[in-house]
Amino acid sequence: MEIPYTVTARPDTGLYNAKVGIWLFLASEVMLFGGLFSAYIFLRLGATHWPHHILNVPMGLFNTMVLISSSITMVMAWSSLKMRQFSNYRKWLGITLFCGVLFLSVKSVEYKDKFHHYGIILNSGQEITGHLAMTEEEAIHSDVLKIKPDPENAGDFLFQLKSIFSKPEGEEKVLEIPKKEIRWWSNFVPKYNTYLATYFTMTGIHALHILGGLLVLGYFWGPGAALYRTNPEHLANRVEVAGLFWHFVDLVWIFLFPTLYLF
Amino acid sequence: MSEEIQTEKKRIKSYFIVFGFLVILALVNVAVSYLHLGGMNIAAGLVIAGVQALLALGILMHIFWEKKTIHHLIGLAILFVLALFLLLVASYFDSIGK
Repeated sequence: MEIPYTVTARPDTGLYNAKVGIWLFLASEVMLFGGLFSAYIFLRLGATHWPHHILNVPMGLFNTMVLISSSITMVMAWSSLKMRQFSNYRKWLGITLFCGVLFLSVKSVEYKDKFHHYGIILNSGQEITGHLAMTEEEAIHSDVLKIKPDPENAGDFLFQLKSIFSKPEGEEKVLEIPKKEIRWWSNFVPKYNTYLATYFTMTGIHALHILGGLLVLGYFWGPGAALYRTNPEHLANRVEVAGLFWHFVDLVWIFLFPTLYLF
Repeated sequence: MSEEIQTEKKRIKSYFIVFGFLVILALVNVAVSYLHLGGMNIAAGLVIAGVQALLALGILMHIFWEKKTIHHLIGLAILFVLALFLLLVASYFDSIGK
């Protein structure tokens, strides 16, 4: 049995079925991320302290540029299919896939950086953040924590930019803090504070969406592209639907970037 | 079909204009975050992100040229999210039991 309205529009909606389907799905996705953003607002309003510029802004900006570029290459891939330019379609979709992989790679570097960044809460309530001057294993068993504290200008754009390519300056001083003076210490993982829990939850779910999008787009770049020989318009419709999902993921990042990295 | 191809050819320029705007607005957003505007910082950031979202939705996702069915679906999704945020605000300012 042939599935109806995969190429031609249904008379009542004026659209092919998959397009209605993807928009219904995206509407449910709006609710998913809407729920996460409302949780973010609620937690932020109730927080006594909310960190500012502790994430690497240049890296986040770079990833924003990567996703914006991938949105354009995605729409160009679909546009090429509509104009029956198959080699251009493969080229633009290939760049989109590259951008998606690049985004996830940068994200994993950011995550790794956070896993090696530590915070110490002293008995007085004072917080010291920085990088350990000893291995984690040594830190667990030692009576003293050795930490290179973050400099005052750790939130500056230029400092963060330099720290991507070289060892951060101003981290030479090593503090030795006896554990009896420490109330709590941990690396920057979700349990560290509400902000990081929110950051990892929201960006983690977003990254899973990128991964899902890459799998689908990878299929249409590879084996799925064979449909072009028999029904190019059907392939164009499939790519349009996958593209709408990709743009939506980009759109979510457009809001994640300022809320988590900038303000 | 040929008419559709002609329309698509005309739209390609608008995709690249949108790309330029999205890049510029992202840079502006970063610059604004380093200004000391108090509570206005986040408001400005969200307005800029809102403009970016509108451009991406309207041009890249073709909302400006879509059928009414899609407009209704998006309208419904936005309505539900606004209701969600309204519930949030209402619960935050709820003084019962305080």
